[in-house]
Amino acid sequence: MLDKRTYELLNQEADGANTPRDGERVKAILERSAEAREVLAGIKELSAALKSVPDVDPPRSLKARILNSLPHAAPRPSIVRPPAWIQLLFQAPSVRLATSFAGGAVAGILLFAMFSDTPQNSSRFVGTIGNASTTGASVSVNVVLPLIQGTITAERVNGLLRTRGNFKASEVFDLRLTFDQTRIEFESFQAERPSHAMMDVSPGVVRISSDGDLVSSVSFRMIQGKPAPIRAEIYVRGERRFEHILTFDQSSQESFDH
Amino acid sequence: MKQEDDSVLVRQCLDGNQKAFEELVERYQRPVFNLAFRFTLDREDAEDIAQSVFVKAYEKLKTFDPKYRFFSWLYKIAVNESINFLHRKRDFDRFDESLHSQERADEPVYHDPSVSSTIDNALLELKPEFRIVVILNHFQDLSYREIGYILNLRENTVKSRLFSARRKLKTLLAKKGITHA
Repeated sequence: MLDKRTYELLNQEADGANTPRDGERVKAILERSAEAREVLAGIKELSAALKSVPDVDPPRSLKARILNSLPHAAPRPSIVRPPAWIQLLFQAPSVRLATSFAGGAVAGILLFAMFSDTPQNSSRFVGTIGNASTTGASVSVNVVLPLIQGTITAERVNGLLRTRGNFKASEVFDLRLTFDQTRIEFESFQAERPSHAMMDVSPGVVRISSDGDLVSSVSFRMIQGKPAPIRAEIYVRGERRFEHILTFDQSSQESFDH
Repeated sequence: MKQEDDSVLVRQCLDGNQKAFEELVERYQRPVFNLAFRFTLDREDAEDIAQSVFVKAYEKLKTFDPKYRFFSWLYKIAVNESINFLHRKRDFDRFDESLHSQERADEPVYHDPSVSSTIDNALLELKPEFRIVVILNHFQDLSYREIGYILNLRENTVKSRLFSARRKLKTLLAKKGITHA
């Protein structure tokens, strides 16, 4: 029976990792021990067997899938940004005031129509999206996927931007909120019901991984007092199944929770 | 030479060159996918892991220390993602680890009776902490030192795990007629 040190030296010999001095020691051991010769041959045989296992080809789509999932990087054809003149128009104080008085609901519907993508036309979208409904201070979007149903709500509460997700789910999913970190920053996360969820915050992205029902809200602080859109995406097994741009301009007056 | 190239690409990427990151994905998608596949023996899981590895790498690129090799740093992320993935999957399935690995080992992952699938299945019978050192050493050709860096282990611990894993694997493969007893 070989001792532990000898077994270690033999393994290192097979890996070509012995010092010259240890190499000499191994040579001497091999000359006098048939068991050592057998063990070394066995290690080399195992290494050869493992070497014979071929690489597995990754799917051709892997690179594109990776690049498409990078934050703020890959082309996202399903998102339509509003024309520049509309963005300028809504930055003008008089127009913002007018839209406020004209009614948050009308502005909300208008902005929703302009900012949101058109997932029904996107080949990447699986599931259905419901109508957006405005309640003066918030906009809700329905998520209807085969095993995940619920709503995502965008609202302004106490000077914060709040996204609230309420999902019934029977599979693992990731809710990813991507935002422009120069305009808003993560403030807090609140799980409103006990759930198996993990949250990960990195620059410009908040990820919530859940393996079932999820009722939670994520709040953001406005850096310059102005809201910024947040991209909400749902991933299932690494595949994006839902995407929507949440906007907060619809809430001309803030609601207050107590 | 390649190491230098990787560092250049990382710098370019940090300067906002998206193509540079694409090149890094092109270079390393295969080894990362294979590492994840050997760890999970599931193509879909390996795809998910590979995707999250590169997204994490992209997000944390600023923290990359150029005194290390880029692929060692990337493998570190890949190993963590693979282990986290297994934990999440295990928790989700509400199986304990031994039951889970036993079930997977009992179920033929492939119906292909080839030597490589037998080896893959034998690997899956190793505990994850032993499996990963075998993968990094034998499939990714990494040194004890590099494996130590990736797994946050001392070199002696790497050797101890690797040599124990080989002994166990040898026994398993001998039973299946792949190697001599």
